[in-house]
Amino acid sequence: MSELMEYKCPACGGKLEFNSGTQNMKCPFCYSEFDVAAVQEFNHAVQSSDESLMTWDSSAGGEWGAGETAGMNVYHCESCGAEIVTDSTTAASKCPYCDSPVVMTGSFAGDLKPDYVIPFKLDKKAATEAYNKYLEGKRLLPKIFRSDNHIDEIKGVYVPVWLFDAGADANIVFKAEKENRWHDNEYDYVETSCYSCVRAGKIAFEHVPVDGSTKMEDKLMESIEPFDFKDVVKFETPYLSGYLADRYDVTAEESIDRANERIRTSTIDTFRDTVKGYNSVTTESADIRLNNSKAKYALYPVWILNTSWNGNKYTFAMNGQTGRFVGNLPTDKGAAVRWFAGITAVCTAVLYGIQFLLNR
Amino acid sequence: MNIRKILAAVLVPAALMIPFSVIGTGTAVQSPMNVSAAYCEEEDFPVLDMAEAADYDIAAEETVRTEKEKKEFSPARAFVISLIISLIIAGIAVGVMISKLKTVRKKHGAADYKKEGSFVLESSHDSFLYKKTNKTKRSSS
Repeated sequence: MSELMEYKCPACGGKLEFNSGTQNMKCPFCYSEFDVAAVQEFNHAVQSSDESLMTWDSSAGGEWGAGETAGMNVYHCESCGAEIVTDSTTAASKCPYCDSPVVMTGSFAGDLKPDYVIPFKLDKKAATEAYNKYLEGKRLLPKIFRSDNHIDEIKGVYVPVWLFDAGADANIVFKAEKENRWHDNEYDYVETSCYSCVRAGKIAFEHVPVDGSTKMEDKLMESIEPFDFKDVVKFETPYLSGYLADRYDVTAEESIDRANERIRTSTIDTFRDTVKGYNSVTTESADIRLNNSKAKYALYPVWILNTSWNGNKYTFAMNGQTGRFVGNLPTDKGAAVRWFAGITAVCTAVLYGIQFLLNR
Repeated sequence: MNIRKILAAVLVPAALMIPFSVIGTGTAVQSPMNVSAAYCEEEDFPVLDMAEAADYDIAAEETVRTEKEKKEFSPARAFVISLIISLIIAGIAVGVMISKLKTVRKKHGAADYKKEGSFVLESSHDSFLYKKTNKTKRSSS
């Protein structure tokens, strides 16, 4: 009975061979030599943390009660395909995402009932003020955009999000390097010492949101985060009054990958912060296992502002709870060139003058 | 009684300040000429032998050479250096201005949603793997 053992080179990942002369493990690819015990420990740590287990209980949302959806209407946007839900007191005429006309397709039915909602805390006036303030101090914003631009419609939309809660058990291997530099008369020397740093522990995340609508751009929704869960309430239909609500078209299962990516990134970052005293730290492997993981369905408040300029559409969003305002603005390329040339000219003159005075 | 206390409060600090103010005034009125004259009177100049005098000459020559180099100001070189640094500064400044116009970004992780006090580091172990040394020839100055 024989078992072929293979050890990975910590430096280049190649297959190591035992060097009988030095009694060390030697890499035939990068010619590095390692102590046998160090190689065993490194390979054991990496192998035991090669696979992550990130599964979820995604049974989010509830069933609507009898009569709860009776006064709710669904509007369809022929242009982008968005489906907007309103209560009987709120009429929708334009799509909040693409500003195209919407048509009522009938009464609301099906779908899951949201578990939670964060009610709007800021009104339309606050959104308009935030937009005007956002345009201030932007030196490269085309002046004509500022003067000609009028936001025709500002819409308060409840955007569907899936909220992920989980505890994470992590076992992460980092590769860290320490540098020591010196020189003699002929050479500069850089000595790099490489270490394997194993960190294990626990961390938990609460209410990590993932956008449940394809119509709401994911980046736009993430840019207005964070939402504060302290204001969350159990969902009731009266909260929709006066606002639009988007229907989810991305399921909880489809949102898991993004939730895992965000949790994994922050878990690794948190453990990396404990690796101290090195010049550089890289992640070698990460085993992250989730526990008590569950998803919930919620509606988050967003003010959406659309405008067109020079044939392009610009969408801005404001967090309806915290007031955080985001949106990409056009750049005045001429102004950018003028600023670049101006700063270059002034700095050149000043630096030249300083050099002249110092050498007098 | 009160008048005494007030007088004491004013006069004692004033009296304590007198020596400092006198020293300060004295230092201010003493001219550099007076200082050097006083130094000359107090100290004798050392007598140098030939070897020491030669050392002083070399040192003096080096000082003159350094000052000459300093005076050899190359306008073209100074302009090019200034221009390169300015281009970098302008690039950074305009880059910052452009970044203010673009605020829609994907979130890096879920740091905002970490449960407070949930992070527990259960094991932490650093082990040495290997060491490598690179040497590069120094450029001759």
